[in-house]
Amino acid sequence: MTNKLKYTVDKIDIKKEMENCIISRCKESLTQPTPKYKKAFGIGRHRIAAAAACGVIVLCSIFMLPNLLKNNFYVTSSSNATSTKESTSATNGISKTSANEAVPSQTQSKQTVTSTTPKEQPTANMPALQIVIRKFGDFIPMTLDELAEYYGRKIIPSFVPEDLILQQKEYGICKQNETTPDYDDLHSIYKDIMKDDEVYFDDNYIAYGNPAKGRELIIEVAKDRYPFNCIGDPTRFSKITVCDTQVKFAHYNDAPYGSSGDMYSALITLDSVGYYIMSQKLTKDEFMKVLTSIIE
Amino acid sequence: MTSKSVRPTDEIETIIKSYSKMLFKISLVILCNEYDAQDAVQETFIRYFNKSPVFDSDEHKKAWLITVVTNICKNMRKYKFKHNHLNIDELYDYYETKEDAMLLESLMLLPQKFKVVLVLHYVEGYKVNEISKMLSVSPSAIKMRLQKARKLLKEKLKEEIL
Repeated sequence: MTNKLKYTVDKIDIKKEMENCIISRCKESLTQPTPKYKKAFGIGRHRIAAAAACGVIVLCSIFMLPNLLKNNFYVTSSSNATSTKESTSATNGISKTSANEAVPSQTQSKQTVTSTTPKEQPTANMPALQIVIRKFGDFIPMTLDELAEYYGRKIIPSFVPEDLILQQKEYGICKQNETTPDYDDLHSIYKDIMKDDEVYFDDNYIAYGNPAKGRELIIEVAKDRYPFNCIGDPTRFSKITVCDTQVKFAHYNDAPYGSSGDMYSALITLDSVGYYIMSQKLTKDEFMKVLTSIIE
Repeated sequence: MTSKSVRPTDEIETIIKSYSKMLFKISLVILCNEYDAQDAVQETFIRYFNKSPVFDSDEHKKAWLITVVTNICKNMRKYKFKHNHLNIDELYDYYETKEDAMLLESLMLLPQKFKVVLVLHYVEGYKVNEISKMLSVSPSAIKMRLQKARKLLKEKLKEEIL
């Protein structure tokens, strides 16, 4: 098999036009001054299409922005933000009262958000699996307190940076019943394996964010295992100790290809609850404080 | 390694034509997308010509280029956060037989860390110690990855056939 592998892979050859494009781009980049993070990629057909699509989106946003601003999805001191998406719960206006109920220890600092810039609906930021399972009839909605009782320990951190607001407000678990699909390989649902009334999915997704600054903190939890969403995470984790607890920790910055800034992530198991914690544009100090507040 | 000034343009062509096929093969297997592979190869050569390092031997130069393109592909994959799968129909551009295309597709479906060691060891002919230096991973880890990679490739091939 390995001989066949060498023979097969050796057959791959770069197309002449690609090679010529690389040669001309290299010659160009050597004759022109290159800014530090300039991406000197060749213009492939798919990139032209992507650039055109971005242009269309920007133009649409410019014309749609005034209308979106009127809907006002953000918390303001006097707003009555409403949701236009059917899948969100009745309480989803991201009202200050709801924020207080959900995060009792963060009562004062979250009441002063005044941005009126439109943002994505909370459900749009959920992992695809979270959106899919809510379509099944076996999803049981829960509050954060009920979830904490189900998992047997707290799942929200005691410390969250002041400017981050709780974005995701739908939580719950899936218990198999007659509405559970028989088979869904994409999401690892196999009805024959579980019994009715057994919990087959209990990943939950708790998201805090400051969309204006692109800052995010996401905590995913699951019982007796790591959340599914961490599978396939290409980040390389190293082991560290926080409050005498072993944590898998990673730091990544996607420059020069992207502008997500510093991203930190951690995998940890506490009292049989798996946590997958991710942040974007938080400082390391902030991330470690969040992590510590979850562990303690 | 020491640096020297930028090379004449005909030397640029010579170097690119000498190594582009090798780098493209590796990039295509990791990224599973022709155009991304082209970008990775281009970026590798741009870095090479900008740094203009001087090597002890051709083998040293080749190893440097492979290490850089592997790291660029890794970063590109992290940025994309998904596996861009090359359709088997597109693989026919490189192959005439379905069997060859299926073998390559099976290779591309492997996790990145496994397919990189497979290509470097069995296709490019690097030894375990050499791969270990390129990827900054211990030799024992490389051996384990090779073992697991062979097993996974066999399983993937069986799935493709069935």
